[in-house]
Amino acid sequence: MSWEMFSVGSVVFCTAGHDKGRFYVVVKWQGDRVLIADGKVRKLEAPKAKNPIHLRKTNHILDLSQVNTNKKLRLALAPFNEKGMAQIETEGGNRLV
Amino acid sequence: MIVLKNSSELALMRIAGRISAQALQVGGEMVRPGVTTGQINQKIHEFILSQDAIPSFLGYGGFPASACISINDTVIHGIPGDEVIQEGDIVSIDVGALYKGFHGDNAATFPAGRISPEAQQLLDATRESLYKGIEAAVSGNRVGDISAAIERSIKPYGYGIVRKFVGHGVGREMHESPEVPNYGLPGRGPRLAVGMTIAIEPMINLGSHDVKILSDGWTVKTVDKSLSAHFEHTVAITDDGPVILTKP
Repeated sequence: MSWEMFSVGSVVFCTAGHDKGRFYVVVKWQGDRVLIADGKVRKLEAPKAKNPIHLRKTNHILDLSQVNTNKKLRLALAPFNEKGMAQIETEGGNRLV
Repeated sequence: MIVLKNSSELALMRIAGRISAQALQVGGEMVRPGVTTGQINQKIHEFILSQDAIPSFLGYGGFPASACISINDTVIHGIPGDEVIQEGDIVSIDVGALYKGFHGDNAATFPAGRISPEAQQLLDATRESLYKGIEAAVSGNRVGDISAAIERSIKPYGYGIVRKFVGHGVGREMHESPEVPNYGLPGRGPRLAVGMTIAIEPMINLGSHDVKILSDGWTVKTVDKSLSAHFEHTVAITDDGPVILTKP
């Protein structure tokens, strides 16, 4: 059974480009690109299109119906950016945060 | 975190892989016009239970069946039911078995009766790309080398390589790190090490790579309604090179 690379709401870690080294949330898929936002540099209303090979998966998913403003998104991603990728779970099933 | 398996764990995975492969065979032999996908699923389910194993997919994330059965423009995760296979269809069966804590995972696309030359070429090209990917799965290489080998193999045909869904690590969990995309650059991604077990699974569309998920939350179809093929093996990285665990 194949793995969905990034579903909408997935928290991802950027590994290339200006966004490198920070956590973002997947807002939607657009063709073969993924649109990501962090509520700060990349707002929900103007997400950045990324090549999915430049993103790393975590097993955390945000409920975007709850996290629906840039402020809430910044707050939701803050713990990820504090901990860093080494401390973030990437195994097992996805869980809502 | 990528989980490495020791030799006794690999021995269990070999059994899980064998059961998965035999279950796929059971399903493949049933593919012919007039059979429903539900009947195939039932046979696969009974076979896995008869081997003292558990169907990996049943209940996984809420999936309601023991096998994913996807016809024609359905790429993956088709839910078996009353759909009747027609002459000329291509039918992808994806099945996994859990044996003593370890999963096997494999898939193949089967022709129902006589299929068009284009469909046959799609099947042959997808199967070939899987084996090209497996050849690149040697210790010291990187995941990107597998991805690039698959992409290189498909490129001359001009087919669409599904990007939204990818291969994955497999072991105690059905889905483990790393992701194994079917496209990418050589020399990128995590390094492959002895003891890693991964499911390599090219999903190739006759048309565009664009796919959509239907409202059932599972069924993935091609956006342009073109045919899609899917072949998969669970592979262990060993000192002697890649070993296919899902062999009957």
